[in-house]
Amino acid sequence: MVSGTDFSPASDGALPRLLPAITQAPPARDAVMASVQWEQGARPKSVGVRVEGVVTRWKPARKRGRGRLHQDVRLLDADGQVVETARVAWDVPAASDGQDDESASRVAWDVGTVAWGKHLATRLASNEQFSSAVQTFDGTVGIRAGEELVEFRIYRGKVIEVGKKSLDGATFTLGGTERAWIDLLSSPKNDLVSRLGRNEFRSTGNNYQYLRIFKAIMLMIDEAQLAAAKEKPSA
Amino acid sequence: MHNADYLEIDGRLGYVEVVGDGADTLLCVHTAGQSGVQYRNNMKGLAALGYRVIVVDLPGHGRSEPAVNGPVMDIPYYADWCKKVLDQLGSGRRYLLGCSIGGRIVLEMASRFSAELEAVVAMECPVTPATATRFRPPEDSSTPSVRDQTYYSNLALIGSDVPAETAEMIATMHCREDWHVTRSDLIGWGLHDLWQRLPDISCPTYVISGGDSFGEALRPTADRIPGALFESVKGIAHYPNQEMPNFVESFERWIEELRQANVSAQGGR
Repeated sequence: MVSGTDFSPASDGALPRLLPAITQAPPARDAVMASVQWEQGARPKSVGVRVEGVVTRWKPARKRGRGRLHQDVRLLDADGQVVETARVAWDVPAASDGQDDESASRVAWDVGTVAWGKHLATRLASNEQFSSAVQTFDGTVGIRAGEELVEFRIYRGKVIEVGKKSLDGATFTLGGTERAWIDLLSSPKNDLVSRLGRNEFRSTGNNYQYLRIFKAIMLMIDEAQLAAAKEKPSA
Repeated sequence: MHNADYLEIDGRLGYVEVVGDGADTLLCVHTAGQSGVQYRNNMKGLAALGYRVIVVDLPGHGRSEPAVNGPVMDIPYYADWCKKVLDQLGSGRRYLLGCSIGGRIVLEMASRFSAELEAVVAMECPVTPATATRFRPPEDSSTPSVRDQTYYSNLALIGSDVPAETAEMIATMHCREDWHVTRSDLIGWGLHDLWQRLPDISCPTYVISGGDSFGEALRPTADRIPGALFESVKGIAHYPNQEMPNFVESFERWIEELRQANVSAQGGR
């Protein structure tokens, strides 16, 4: 869900200017703010004129009776540059996320979860280019989105296991914020390389192996984008 | 006329193509690791504007033999090499066109040989005060899947208005490179110290950037060259002459604008 509103800067210009706008427009009815991670943007001294909010994760309610929603909120200036940014977690009552039960069409956007990983692995199983690209790879690829991490154990051209953690850990991990993944999956083309250049994503671990099977990584993104295109963004 | 030849320069053979019978000479220089094939779709159109178009393969690139000391990490060396090509083949007024390291090369030439040049068009070649002083030489053992890296990184260097088929062609053609040569070119780019000498350029100069690439970041380079003009072209990125379907017409306009600008051409007759 992407929302946008005009923004009237506070008269005193004090930082952070974004927080009042966040609390005044919660992303779901009866949502209660649980945490905020606030940062200055690329243009911290610029005048913010618009607030943009993107729901980046929706964890459905379970035993506690409340779900958890993650939101990326940005204060933008007239040029569309980021003045301030915040990652907000909200507690939401079950009634608010009724449309988002575990089986909902959200899994293709739920990057970093095991459900997402298994969904992607199913698609990769019939992707001959991917199989060829990892034919000589024996290792584990980690994908991290925010705090969520999923690992793909790969051997001789096949994903043989998907889980939160493989026995020997990931050979390398490609990670970005939840918002970075939403933006990548929403992009009309697979522009991971450009986004790596802008530090929206980074790899950790064995960089040699990361480079060696980079084609496979691109093919994983291709498949993830195709899956996401078939589903609406979460909420 | 479309002629190909090997010139002996610095003890090695360098490949050049010459297209057109114009009285004036236009020298075209390619990007890092690549070859004159990047001008395959432009050379005849440029010749039709009245130029004798010379398209080079820099030493170690395309069909040219490597330099005596192997891959070159020295932009001024390339500039001297291109000057020798001009000295052998040039006639009439002399124009230069280059992209990326080719842009740096033609600016380097302009900083030292402006008196012999009619005009320069330098594309996608920002010059900054900071230059690298240390580098890691190319080693195959540390760089796997180079073709994939080349392909994907070049796809990322192509503008948003470029059709997917064209982008695919550009990225695929790039995969012909010897990455040791490419990496050496880029090291040369990093070591190239031109900022202090940009004001020495006295021939009419047009600096072109791709709006989806360096964009306005190239303006300071133009601002430092006396009388230079600047344009950031929307929808394209790092390879204007390969991405712009109307590149020849644009080049003609850039030269005309330089003619009308108040910068005294030095000639080169």
